[in-house]
Amino acid sequence: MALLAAFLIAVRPPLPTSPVKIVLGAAVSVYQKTLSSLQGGACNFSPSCSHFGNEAIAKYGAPSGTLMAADRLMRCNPWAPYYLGRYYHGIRNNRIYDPIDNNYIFGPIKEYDDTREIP
Amino acid sequence: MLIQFVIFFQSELFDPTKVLEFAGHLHESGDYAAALQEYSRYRFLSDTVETDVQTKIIDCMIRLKRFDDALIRARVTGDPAYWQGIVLYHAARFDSASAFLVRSNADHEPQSRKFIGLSYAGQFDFKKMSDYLEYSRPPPKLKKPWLGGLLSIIPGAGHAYADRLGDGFFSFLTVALLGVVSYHYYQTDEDLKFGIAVSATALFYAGNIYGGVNAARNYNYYRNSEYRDNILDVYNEFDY
Repeated sequence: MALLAAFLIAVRPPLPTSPVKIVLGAAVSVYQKTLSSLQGGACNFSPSCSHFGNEAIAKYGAPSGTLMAADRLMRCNPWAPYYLGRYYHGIRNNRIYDPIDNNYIFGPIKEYDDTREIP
Repeated sequence: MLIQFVIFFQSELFDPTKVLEFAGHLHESGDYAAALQEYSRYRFLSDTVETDVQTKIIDCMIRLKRFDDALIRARVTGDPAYWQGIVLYHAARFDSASAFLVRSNADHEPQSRKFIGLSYAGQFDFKKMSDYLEYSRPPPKLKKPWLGGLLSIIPGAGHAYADRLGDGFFSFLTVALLGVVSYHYYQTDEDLKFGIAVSATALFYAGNIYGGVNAARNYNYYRNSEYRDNILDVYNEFDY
């Protein structure tokens, strides 16, 4: 029993650290499991806006992550492909590659290998 | 007959001159992994290893992005400071590269200066770069991220400032639409809906300001990258 408990503790996913993160993460998860599949993968970017928001909140905290997600939602518009080659330099999974770290305004922008596919 | 045939081909296979020739061919054709293997074979078969072969091995490792191996190899060359500087430059460790390159031997001075200049170009410090490299085109005019954020007080203006009119228009549309919806619920005294709508408006408005800063920052990065790439068209970074 103790072994089973230890195993379950070891394999559990990392817990969000604040109630705000939990609420926002849950909202995004609900969206991903319901509305997202109905849309049929309409996002221009990789990672998709919901994944971007989720990861940005997890990595940079609720305040920065939420702003990054709002910015990304507004950038995910019909003009986005026009900026490929000017502001977005990579394609991954047949979508414009827009890494989370490059949109954190207090961090550096990095160059990424354009051709690598994410399974 | 068969034994003679095998002996003949074995002698060809283990002839250092032939191995070196084949390694050179592979290197020229861009198969750096195979070339590296052949150069290593040459090193094993040959009694003496020329400096040119050492540099070819380092070049293969650089192109294969095996920077740690290349650094180890660079330490045993005739001019370790120069070659370590070259490796570190390719590994995008520009500060360390410059520190090594200034200590390189006098016979490598023109090339060292070139790579110090390219290291500054890699850091987008084009003013310092101009002390080492001659490049006639003026550096790009950059945008001020704080100004992008300030202009975003008018939704979308910060994006437009960073040359992203489409994003600016869409930001304006999003914030304006949510603002109109909020106003509508305010007028109709629907408190809950008004609360939700005004929160969304505030969120996207703040996101628009964040985006204004981000757009200017990205603009600067990509203009600097383009300028650096143009420099690399003139100064080949694989010409040591």
